Amino acid sequence: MSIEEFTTLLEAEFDELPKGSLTPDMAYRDIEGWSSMHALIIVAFVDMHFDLVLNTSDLTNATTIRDLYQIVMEKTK
Amino acid sequence: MSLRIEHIEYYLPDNIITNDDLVHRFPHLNAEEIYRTTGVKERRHTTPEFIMSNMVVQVVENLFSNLPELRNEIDGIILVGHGYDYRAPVTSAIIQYKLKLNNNCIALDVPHGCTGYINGLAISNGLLETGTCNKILLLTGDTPSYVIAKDNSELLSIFSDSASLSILTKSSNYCKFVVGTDGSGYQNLMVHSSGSIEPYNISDTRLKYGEMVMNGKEIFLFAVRTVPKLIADTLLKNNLNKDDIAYFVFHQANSFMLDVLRRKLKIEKERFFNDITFTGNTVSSSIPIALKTLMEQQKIKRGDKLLLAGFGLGYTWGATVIEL
Repeated sequence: MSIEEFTTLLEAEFDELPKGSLTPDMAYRDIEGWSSMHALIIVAFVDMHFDLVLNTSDLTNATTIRDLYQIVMEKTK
Repeated sequence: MSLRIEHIEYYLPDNIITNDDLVHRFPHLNAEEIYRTTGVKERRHTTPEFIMSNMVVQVVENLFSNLPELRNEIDGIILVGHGYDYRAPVTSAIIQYKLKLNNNCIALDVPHGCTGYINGLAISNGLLETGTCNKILLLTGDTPSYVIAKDNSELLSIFSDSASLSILTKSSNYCKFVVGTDGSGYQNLMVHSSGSIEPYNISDTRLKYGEMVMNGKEIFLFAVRTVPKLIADTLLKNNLNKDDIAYFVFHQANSFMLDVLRRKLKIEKERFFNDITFTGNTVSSSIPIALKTLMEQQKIKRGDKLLLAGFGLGYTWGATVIEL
């Protein structure tokens, strides 16, 4: 899966986001209305698409969508 | 043959815990943030004296005061929940005695939580279909406030004490069940120090009946992994399409989680109950409370097909379609 596809699919998980508003280099915690529950959406998204459960440090170590993507790619090599 | 819900009622304790009350107790919290992440503004706590069986008896007596003939018609009582009076005998038998119900009455305790109402319906369906019973009193009751540590703001934010009743009779409607269990997840939502394997630790004076713990991330993942397939399987088993369902009523775990599930299932908000603003997560009573609320709001009517689904601790899950 490309970073662009990853970003588009992740954006679809956030109902409130207008199409095209998420970009690979965007800090995901800057998503409007961000809360700990949104982190769960990311965990569920990665679980569904990659059969991988991210842990708290994975999320802490990632700032941007690209960081998240790279962590997922590394862990599913 | 299948079942029909003749009556449905619920009970919530008078003691209201608001988000401001929680912020007063936990200054690091923010009232708006609590509402945004849980969907709850108020939750209810019973007193230490008014236990689960008291709440259940009260809700039934309220109904009997209007419909006294029901008392002699009931030949099955199923009590779903936790917080039973004793390890033995079954609390449903004690309730049969307190309610002065007919002696020709089966009494069953079903210690289930989030899936409890569905399991209670499934058992009732079997009892009605085989002619063992003609009219069943399905009760739910939980007192999570008894098993939440006073410093656990996450669980205190979500859970409420409550009870409900449903009077069930035979019908020729739908009502095929899909059920499931995966006990490998039991430690992700459980009450420690509450049974034989791990008896109550007397040195811990905070809690008399054990301590609830929850791994929110794992429970969320369990729901997201399990519920979409549960709903698809239930529609298939009942030979129905999503559009045939007037309303989807799931266990009201957490508004945020329910909205994620709704979007995954592509169900319109108008046909999906998601409201725990003034009740909190009422465990096994959440589906009957939702049904009663929808009836009162005239959003559902007799003849409507409703898809009911429960999922949670165990892990367990179950769903069915009923015709109201």
